[in-house]
Amino acid sequence: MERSKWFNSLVKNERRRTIVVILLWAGSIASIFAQAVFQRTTLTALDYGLGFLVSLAAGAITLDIGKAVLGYIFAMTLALAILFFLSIVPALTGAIQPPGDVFVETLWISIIFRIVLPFQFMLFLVGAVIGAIAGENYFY
Amino acid sequence: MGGRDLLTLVFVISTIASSAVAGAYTYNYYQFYPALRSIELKVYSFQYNPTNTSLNAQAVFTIENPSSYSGFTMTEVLASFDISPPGGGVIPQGLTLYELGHSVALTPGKITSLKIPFTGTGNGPITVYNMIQNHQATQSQFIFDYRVEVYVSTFMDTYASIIILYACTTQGTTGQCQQGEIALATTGPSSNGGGGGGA
Repeated sequence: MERSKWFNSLVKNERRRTIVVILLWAGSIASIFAQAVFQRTTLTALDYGLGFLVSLAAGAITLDIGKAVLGYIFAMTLALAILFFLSIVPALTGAIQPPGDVFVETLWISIIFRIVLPFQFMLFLVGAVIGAIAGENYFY
Repeated sequence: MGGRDLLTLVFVISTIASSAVAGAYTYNYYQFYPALRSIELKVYSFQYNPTNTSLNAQAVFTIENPSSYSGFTMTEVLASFDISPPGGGVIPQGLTLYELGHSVALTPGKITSLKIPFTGTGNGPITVYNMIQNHQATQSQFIFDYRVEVYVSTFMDTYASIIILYACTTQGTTGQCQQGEIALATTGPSSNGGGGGGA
């Protein structure tokens, strides 16, 4: 199967591939969190499973444990930043009047940290490490 | 295209798909606050027939969620009211907990009636009764001011409870309500339950 042009440009070299994977990783984690918290403010077993699979795949693509761990930290930081931004858009756009806007921002920080730390953060990290080990074995 | 490329491609596609799903839920979340603000409480009717022991009053309120957001459930209604006689002054009548029986979903466009009976407390009933009996005032001259708290269950229940406050006034058989603050209070398992703010 031939690589298409657009795909080729995504994975032109190793550095670009790593950056693309981290961005996709962040997008996937942010999406999993967003659909969960904007529905019920908690994660289900399915959400945990999806997050683990995403980290497993991302880790496998990076092919290196060190890269996978660092990539995960970058991706998670970016994902949480995206999620926090999405959750406070109503406060930023004036849909929530002061002082409620400040309270909502604080509330969302609290919600996000409670759903992420510590179990979920560790679970996804383990997924990334296992993925990287598997990637080293299968893709090298 | 090797296995690694294939996995990367799957990753690209799954990220796009999950972002689309998350986008739909995020859009729905953005409807949440304006929808909360749009919930309307109205006075449908009011009547009372005072004796020296009870006001025998019944206020019928209607509550409606005019937005397209579904996900609100009314769990409790608390009302308190004061009576303002025509000569001036205020007779506070305290709190009344309206038993819904069960939670009521605030389905978009559906109007729900709340028939809240009031008997009155303290010297409220006898004061009103005596003023009417002594022709110092007519029944329609008394103004009833309500503060109605509607407790709403939402997707945020695990972390925050939401109370919508309304100020209503009735005189004669009609009245009107205005939405006041929307109170948010933290309810998380490790919180002290003290946090709160108006939205």
